[in-house]
Amino acid sequence: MSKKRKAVGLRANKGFLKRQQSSGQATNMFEALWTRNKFFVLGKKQKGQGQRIGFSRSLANDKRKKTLLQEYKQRGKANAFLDRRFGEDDERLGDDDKSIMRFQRERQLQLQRKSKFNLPDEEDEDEEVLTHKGAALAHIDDYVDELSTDEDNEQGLDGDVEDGLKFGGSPEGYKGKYNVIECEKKQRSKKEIMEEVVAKSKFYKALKAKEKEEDSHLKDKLDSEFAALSQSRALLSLVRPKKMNALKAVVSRNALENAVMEKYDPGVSEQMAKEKPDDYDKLMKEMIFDMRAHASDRLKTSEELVKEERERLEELENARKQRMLEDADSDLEETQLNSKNQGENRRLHGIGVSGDDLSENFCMDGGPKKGWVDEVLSRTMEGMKTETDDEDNSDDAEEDSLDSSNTDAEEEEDIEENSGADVNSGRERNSSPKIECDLKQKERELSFNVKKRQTDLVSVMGNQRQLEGLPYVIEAPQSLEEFTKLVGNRSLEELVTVIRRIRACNAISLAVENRKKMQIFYNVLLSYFATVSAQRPVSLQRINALVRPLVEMSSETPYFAAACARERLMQMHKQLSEKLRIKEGGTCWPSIKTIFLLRLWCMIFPSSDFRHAVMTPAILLMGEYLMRCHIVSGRDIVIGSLMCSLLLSVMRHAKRYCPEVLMFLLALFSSALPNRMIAQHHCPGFMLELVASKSWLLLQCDESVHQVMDDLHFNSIIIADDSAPIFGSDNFRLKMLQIAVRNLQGFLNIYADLSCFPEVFAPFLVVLREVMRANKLPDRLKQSIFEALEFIHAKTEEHDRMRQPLRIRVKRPVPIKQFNPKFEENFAQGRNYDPDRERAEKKKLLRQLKREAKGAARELRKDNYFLVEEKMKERVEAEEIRNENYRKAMSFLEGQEAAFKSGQLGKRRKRR
Amino acid sequence: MGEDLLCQNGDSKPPMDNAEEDGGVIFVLEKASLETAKVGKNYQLLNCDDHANFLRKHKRDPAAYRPDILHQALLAILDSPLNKAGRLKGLYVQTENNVLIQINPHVRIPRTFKRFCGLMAQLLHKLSIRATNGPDKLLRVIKQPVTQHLPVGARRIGMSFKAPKVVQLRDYIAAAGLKSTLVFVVGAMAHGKIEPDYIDDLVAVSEYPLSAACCLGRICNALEQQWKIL
Repeated sequence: MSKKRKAVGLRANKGFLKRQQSSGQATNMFEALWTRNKFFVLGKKQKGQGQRIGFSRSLANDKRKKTLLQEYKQRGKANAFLDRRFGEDDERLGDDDKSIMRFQRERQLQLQRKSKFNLPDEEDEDEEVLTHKGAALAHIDDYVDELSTDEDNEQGLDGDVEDGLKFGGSPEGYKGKYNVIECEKKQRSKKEIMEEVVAKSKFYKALKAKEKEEDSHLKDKLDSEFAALSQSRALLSLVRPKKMNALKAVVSRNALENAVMEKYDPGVSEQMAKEKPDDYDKLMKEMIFDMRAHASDRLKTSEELVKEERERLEELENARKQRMLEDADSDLEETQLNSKNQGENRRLHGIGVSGDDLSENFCMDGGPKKGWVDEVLSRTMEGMKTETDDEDNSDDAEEDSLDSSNTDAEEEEDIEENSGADVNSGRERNSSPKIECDLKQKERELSFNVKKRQTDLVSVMGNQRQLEGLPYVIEAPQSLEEFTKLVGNRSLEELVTVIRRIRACNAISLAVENRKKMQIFYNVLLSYFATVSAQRPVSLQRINALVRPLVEMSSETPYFAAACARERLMQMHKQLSEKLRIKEGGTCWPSIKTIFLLRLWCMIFPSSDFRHAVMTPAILLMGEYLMRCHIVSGRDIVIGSLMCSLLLSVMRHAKRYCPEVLMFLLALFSSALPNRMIAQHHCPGFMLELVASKSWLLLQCDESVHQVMDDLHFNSIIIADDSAPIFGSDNFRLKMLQIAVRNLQGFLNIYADLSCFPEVFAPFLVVLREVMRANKLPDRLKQSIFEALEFIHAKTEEHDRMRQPLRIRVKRPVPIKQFNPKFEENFAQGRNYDPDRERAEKKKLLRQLKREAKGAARELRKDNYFLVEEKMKERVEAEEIRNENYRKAMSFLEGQEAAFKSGQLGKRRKRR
Repeated sequence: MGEDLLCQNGDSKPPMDNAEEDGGVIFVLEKASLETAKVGKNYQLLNCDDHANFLRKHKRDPAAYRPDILHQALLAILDSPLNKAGRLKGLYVQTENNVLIQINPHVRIPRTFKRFCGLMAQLLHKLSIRATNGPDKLLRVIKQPVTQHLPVGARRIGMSFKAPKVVQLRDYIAAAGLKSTLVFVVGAMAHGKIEPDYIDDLVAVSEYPLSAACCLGRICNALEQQWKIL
């Protein structure tokens, strides 16, 4: 690499030397010195291959001689002589060159604009000659040309020829053209031309016929397409009903006409079509003037809905009162009533109907929500609810049928209204026979509709009669007595209606004072709920019916609902402590009413909240029941199990650890053992004392007759006495065991991910195994217990596997610290990467300033050196001259003195 | 002793947890192809992918310009647990153009090749790169020869496929002893073999030709096993 570089350098040096030699100056060997590039960078342009320091130094010296030296020489002078003659400033020019330059200058002056207007000298006139085709015009004889053109005109040539002969035209082109035209004219005779004309006209006729045929085909196709379209739903949905009929008529007529036309001559049918105004066109024009679609009413706010409901009920109430007085009912009123009642039915599905709601017929969930009580009981006693469930279902079905019939009627009415409106508008516009016939058709349809609706009404009426006795506008009852008076003997359906009407009439959004009223009513309703659940036998349907309004009302007044619940919870707790303190007689376990209330609150309030004003105390209370109440009868076991399943339903969402339930379940299982000492190591003693004081669940008969377990009846158990035989049966014990196992399974699923799972559920393994050994259980129960055991086993193993042994002070080695290098993405040499622009700019300027200052200082220094040198030269010169003079003078004096001394004074002078 | 020497040369201090009793390792990457050129307006690190035409225009063999090998090799060394544990005492790169670069073991080399190229181009122009979050110079161009920077008495082992001796690296290192500082000289070029004159021993670690990164990975693994770094 370096060799190459050197070679390049040498070559450049040679060039320089040559230049030096050619310019005829003496070569300065210092000027031939070069600086060398230290690094070779690929792609970098090699500018001048470094610098020649000596050369540039001598250049600078020359420059100084021209400028600084001149100034120095002029320093004492007041004026200067400027020689402005051509070439005088350039020393290199010779005399010849100078004279040439002067001559050039003179010529340039002559060519300037001014000189154009000067009268030319005769000598230097230019020979500018006009030419034609390269020949000077002066040489062409004018007369000869003119003569020849005249002759041509006489021969009678046409324009083409003339063009050819015109100035610049070519004789060859003109000849060719003329010949072609002559030939064509000769070839076609008259007959031929006529034939061509005939053929052309025939061709056009055929073309026209073909076009016509295509048109008719296209028309047919369009007709058929239109017919298909008019039958499709797309067009139907766009066109109003009245127009629809006209449209259909048009289509059918078209079809008919087509059929007729096929029979007759096509020409006749064409005429017919021309005579009659086209139905289609008429229809189209009418449609243009039709009303366009309007924006529908906006969605009503909830307040407006409530208000409307209230107004509707008031109206109905008024009508009812009037009827009571007059006792005259007509069909018209009936229908009115019916139509009004539709609104109520519609609201059966839920108060808030959103804009995206599907039509009334479209109902995913069949009627109201399924009874939650059933849900709980299905966990506790499977068979008990069969009756009630059936009833529920039948209720649902009834409601559904009612719904559908009503909505049918509604739809028809809608259609009727529409058509009525159309008829009116139509009559106003024109009274053509067609419209009238339409009208008749409408009337027929209408009468049919009315008939059909009447038949529907009959079915609706059945339901209607029941609700007849109820007032429509009901003030909110302010005490439980009032409410029981109102609904005391009413059926379930009436109860629901009453509550709904009360809520509608006293909706909170209607008036300010309604809030208070509704709050009191809420309390009343809650008390009523408690009363109903305290009744024997328990009417589950009634309870179910009450749940929905209660839940909805709680969401309307959440704070009040919570306050009510807390109050009752406190009472419950007080009762419990009271009972526990007395300790004598009766059980501490909560009543069925309490359980129902707890369940209700579980539904109303969020159970998964970490801390909740109602749910937290409720859960604590339930746990307390389980931990502190003494089991004295079979019924207590049932209630305990109910409590467990209630807690399970809560914990399923909350996923919190609830030790009370597990303890209770464990104790319950140990009560199925002959000797409770077996479970002593696994279950706390006080729980055994409380729960398994007797072997409640130990099977008495040691036979396998228990293969079939009968279902228990909820009501019968609730009513049953403590010493009822039902609690002594093996069937009851098996059922309870089954429920306990199911509860356990539920908790197993919830707590499967708990890290303390093995420890929590290990006692169950032992106790359940003992239970299986001690009792002859039916296969189904065995199976489920096995499953639970398997699950515990599997999960325990899994957890054991995942566990890590404890380690003392695990110290991870600390890796060395790493630093990021600071660099730029697109680094460019010399650019400042300071993010502060101002600072960078300043820095750059400072650097520039410094560089300039240094450069200036260097220049000045060099100037000084130069000047000093010059001065030295001058001084030396002056010294020399002075020395010379001195020497001369001295020699003269010496000569004189010598002559004087020698006495030859005139001798030398003579010689000179 | 070796550490003293390093410090005298003005490095940032290499990690010295318990350097007195523990051995360390120094890598020298020979014949790395790091060359900048003026491509268009900017100076760029030449690589065979982006500058193939440029190189051909200047009558160079594109196959020789492989800075990615160095990139991979550096990542293999600096990301190894060996380095994380602070056993890497020094890292030097010797380029084809006879530039010697000292790399601080604390540096976090850019993960993408493009950024690596930017870093190296800047290094070659500015001769040193500082840390964004520290005072140290992470990369710097230093004076030749590399032996001047190596600890005295350290065993210098050259790696070459063409070496007559194929060794099981684990045993080879074990033979050197736990406390000694080893210098491994590995080539970071595409073709050819390293020809340093300062190595004590030239060995092959595999019967197959290995890439630089793979070879360094082997060395690191063997050393980690030796020093029980997990």
